[in-house]
Amino acid sequence: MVSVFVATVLLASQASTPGVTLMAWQLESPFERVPSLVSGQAPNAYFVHREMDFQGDVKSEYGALKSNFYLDVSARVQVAEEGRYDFLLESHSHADLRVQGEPVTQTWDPNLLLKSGQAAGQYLLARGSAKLQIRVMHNEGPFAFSLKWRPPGAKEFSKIPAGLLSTEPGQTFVTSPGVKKANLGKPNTPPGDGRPLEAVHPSFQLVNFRGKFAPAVGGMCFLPDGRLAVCTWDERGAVYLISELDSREPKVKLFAEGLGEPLGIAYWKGDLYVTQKGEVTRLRDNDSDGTADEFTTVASGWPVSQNYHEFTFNLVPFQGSFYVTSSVPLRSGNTNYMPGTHGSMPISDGPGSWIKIDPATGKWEILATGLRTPNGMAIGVDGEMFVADNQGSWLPSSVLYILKPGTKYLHQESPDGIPEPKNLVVWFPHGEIGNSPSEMTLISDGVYRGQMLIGDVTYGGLQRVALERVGGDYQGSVFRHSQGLEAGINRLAWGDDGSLFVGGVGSNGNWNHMGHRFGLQRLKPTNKVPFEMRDLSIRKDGFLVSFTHPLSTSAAAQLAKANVRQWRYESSLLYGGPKVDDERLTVGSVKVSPDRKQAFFALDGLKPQHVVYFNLRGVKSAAGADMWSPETWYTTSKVPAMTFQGFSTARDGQGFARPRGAETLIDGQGKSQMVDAEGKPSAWKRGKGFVEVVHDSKADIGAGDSYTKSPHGDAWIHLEWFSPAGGKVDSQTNGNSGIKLQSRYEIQIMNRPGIPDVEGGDTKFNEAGSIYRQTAPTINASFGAGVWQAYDIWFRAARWKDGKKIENARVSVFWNGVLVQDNKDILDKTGLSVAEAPGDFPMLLQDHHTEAEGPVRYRNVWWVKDPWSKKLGPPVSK
Amino acid sequence: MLASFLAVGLIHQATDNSLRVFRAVFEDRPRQLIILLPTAKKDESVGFVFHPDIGTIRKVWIGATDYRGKVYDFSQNNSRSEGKVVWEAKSECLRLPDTEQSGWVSKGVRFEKGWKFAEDGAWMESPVFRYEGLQTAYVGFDELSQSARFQISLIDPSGKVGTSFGSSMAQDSGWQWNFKKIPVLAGDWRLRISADKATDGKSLRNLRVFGDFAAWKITQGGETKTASVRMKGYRVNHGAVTVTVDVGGALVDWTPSANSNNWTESFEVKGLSDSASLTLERGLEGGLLVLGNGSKVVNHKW
Repeated sequence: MVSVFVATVLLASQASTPGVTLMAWQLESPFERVPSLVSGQAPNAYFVHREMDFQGDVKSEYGALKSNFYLDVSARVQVAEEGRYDFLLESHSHADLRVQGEPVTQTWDPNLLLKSGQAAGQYLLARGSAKLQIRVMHNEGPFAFSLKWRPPGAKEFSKIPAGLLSTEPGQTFVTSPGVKKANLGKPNTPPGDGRPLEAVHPSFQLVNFRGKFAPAVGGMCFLPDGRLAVCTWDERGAVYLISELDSREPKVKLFAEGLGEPLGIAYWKGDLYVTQKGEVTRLRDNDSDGTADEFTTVASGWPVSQNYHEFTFNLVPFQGSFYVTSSVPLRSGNTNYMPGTHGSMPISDGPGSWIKIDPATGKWEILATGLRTPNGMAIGVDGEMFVADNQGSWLPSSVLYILKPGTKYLHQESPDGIPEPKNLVVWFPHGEIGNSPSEMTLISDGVYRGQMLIGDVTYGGLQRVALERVGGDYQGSVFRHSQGLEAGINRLAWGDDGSLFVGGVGSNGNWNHMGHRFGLQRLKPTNKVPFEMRDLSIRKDGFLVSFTHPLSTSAAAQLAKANVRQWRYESSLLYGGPKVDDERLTVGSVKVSPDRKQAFFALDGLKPQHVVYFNLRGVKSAAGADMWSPETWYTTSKVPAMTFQGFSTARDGQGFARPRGAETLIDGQGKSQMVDAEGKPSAWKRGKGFVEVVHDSKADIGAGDSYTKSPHGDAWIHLEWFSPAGGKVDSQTNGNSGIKLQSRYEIQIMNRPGIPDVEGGDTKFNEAGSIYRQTAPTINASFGAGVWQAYDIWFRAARWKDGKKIENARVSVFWNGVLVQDNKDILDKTGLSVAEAPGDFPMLLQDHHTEAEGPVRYRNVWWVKDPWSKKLGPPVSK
Repeated sequence: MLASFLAVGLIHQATDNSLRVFRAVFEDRPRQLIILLPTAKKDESVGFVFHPDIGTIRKVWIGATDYRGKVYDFSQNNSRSEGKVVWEAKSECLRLPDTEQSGWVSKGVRFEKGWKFAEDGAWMESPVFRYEGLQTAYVGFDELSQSARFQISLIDPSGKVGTSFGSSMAQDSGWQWNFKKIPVLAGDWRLRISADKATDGKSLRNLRVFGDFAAWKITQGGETKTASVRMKGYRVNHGAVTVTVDVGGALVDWTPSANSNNWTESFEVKGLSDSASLTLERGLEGGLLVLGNGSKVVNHKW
């Protein structure tokens, strides 16, 4: 159990507003009694009504609900006198009444009916406030319901006076159009198929560790000493430091409090920084008593008003700058700029902005506008910065954007014109796979490396996003990943053991998950990989789908039955928007790769700017496993010109398996056999499971290259490397290192690949995958910056006779298992290396100047000398 | 009026356990730094509202705090002081009284629970007012009914419209706030509110034009001008809080305290050039406060 601080702030008494809250969901078909809604779906209509009765159509932004709708009515009633209260629920629809959460009566139970459409029940109420809830399933015909009561001593039923009814004030009325899903009794599909998952992804084990510590998490980050810093979006506005996370009783210590709605936190250059509403602040503990005593304003001044919805989100330090986002003002869910009005901050480029801050001077600039509720920003795939934005006006569904300076994103202040999506990477179809996406994080290792996980505050859980570049731009798919967490997920932080810490938050109205408002849990890696789709890659004529395990031999027939649809969205002033041009796509044929881990779906009529939905229900793995979730949603910002060219080897970040007899140079625990130029043990730093280059980039002085103790000639060399994001484009500072074969032939290591796109693009012979300054890789097999990757290099040394080279050295390079240099001649020494010469020489790993967000790391480096003689040559070679 | 408060007796020194310093949206302004010094009475404090944008306090009160907002009570309101206001900077330039409309002219408007716009095309117009000294200016009001929109305009004596906007609508049935930032315009203005439709009991209340006046001036070489202001941060030590503000390039430390006789402001100025001085004008008792490098303690009697 964690130790707990008792908040000294008195929480204001829960405010209320007169009326009752009504929410209505449009269903596809009638039900013979009140069904259970599939969770995570926003209502079509949501408003505050005066009394516990209603008749007529239910109005919504998207048109009136007339039939086949589910209605939820909730309020609190003030009870002046304790006693038994009789209730009379009147409706010709299927309706039930709950008081204080307990069922009281229902109109479809003949035993409770006074007469047709009138059900009676009784409840013992104490003085004070009691919760009332009516659920109605209305199928067809005129709609009406009412609730009357008979207090103790009264003879007749009477209307509950409006003056006694109240509901939550200041609700944000989140709605969305379209038909919603509901079930009677047990759902007819497993979790993750047409409805949310119910458990954490099998690759993680859920660990509850917070005890009574109940943070509404606004931000999370790790300190270098392993403590987890958590800032809380609550009345205390605190920063807590949690230590001993692996013990049975992690310790929670208050570090700071009194911050105004902190929604971002970062550790940078020895200090903790937080994002408050309209400000970034540095926290320092000058007297070393364990709590902050100095609160320094680092930056402020961007547009922010008193409006509750003008949050300042996130805090991402990157390349010497801080990045935050701001959101637009709202009132009751609607954007506070209505036709013919100015916003509460009528500034052309804010709020709703991406903001860059110089932490040294406090100067800030707005880099991009048109964001609505950008609650979630991170360095993601390929070291690019991404932001998630939430559904609402001009955003028919929630989205993931890549952040590019100068972009005007979808949300706009003017009611005029229709904005066009720009730099939109993924749509999260509302209620199907997300409602309020939050922070995302890059997966740096394992089967899903190079992809991202993203939280959701109201839909809950985690979603997985897999991107590819098409025509130079990112797009991709979203998959269900995890549910069953204690609150909607707001913030994420990786521990150094591969654990993912998930922080929850929630508010009133329906801006929460299952009504929960705080949470902090740990997902510990299990190394289990369930059967599911790993990623999708679009072609002009269909999709190449990769799976985590081989498909069953009968899968092709099942895959051909896949439910594939496509639709698009149109921006409008409406809160959210419907699917437009929704159509089913016919699967022409399905081809399965020889290793049964890929399938190609031939599809005609793929359109750009659409969402393509796949449901592969019933498909099993070769081992007979069902899919963790058979669904995915791919956003086709572009459809490439390239057609399916046959199957190629899928990337595998572990590279090739280590053969018997291989010699370890750096192991998986960070133990190194490498030496410096003088033969002393290499001064590179040992980390948890890796060795990292030591280089002071400011002074441009390093610990020097790291050499093998023995020389080599022909060899198979395996190395796993990690190049963090950052550095300037085309500057050779992008997480630069390299492996120099025989100390003179470099295979480049960098966070940028020498070939960027599925369709090619500008190749570069001096970036990752290249024989440095000689030959660019043939395929982009990179998992991107900040991700563990593997090279398997088969090197055939140059042949010499009488001191003259008679054959060039040659090399085959497999990058993440994919052949990118096929038995290529190395024409000469590369770059500034030592000259070619006969004989064997050590291999070295390069100490190079870099401006990335940290040093290059290595692990699992081993070699097999003279592999051909041991029949261990490369598997594919000319 | 103050006697009853003084009778309970302020403690002379705040303690670590009782001083409370926090940031919040407070009385319609974001980023406010609220400092609550304890008194001997439970749940009572001497409260200071330090406004980062003007680099000084804008309110002192004694009493409690009504914590409102998403992180307090989930509402869309914001926090306010409760109790006796000891001093508050002038901020309102115009207010529509809730029971009479002296100096206002109108057509089709009458007072019920608020000002009810009882016929289509009804309007109200304020007397002439000025608000050009404000650093930031806002129009705030509450409206009732969801089915019609107010149009709010600033009109100069010639009838030219300086700025205009429509109220925003909500799905709530009760009184709804509106809060709009407006450009600070020099000269005389009248505020006009009109409603094309008088449906659904369209009503208005709590209408005001307000903002914050610049407080700091710097005098150098015989020239006095409004000083740039940037809050640098604050330090909390041994039960006291010190706020640091960059005023015209000089650093001003400000520390509040309170005892039975006074509430006190301690100033420490550094980095001001020898020929320069700072002037703080807040409408407080004692008039202008002129500061040079060094310390100055200012006691304000209760």
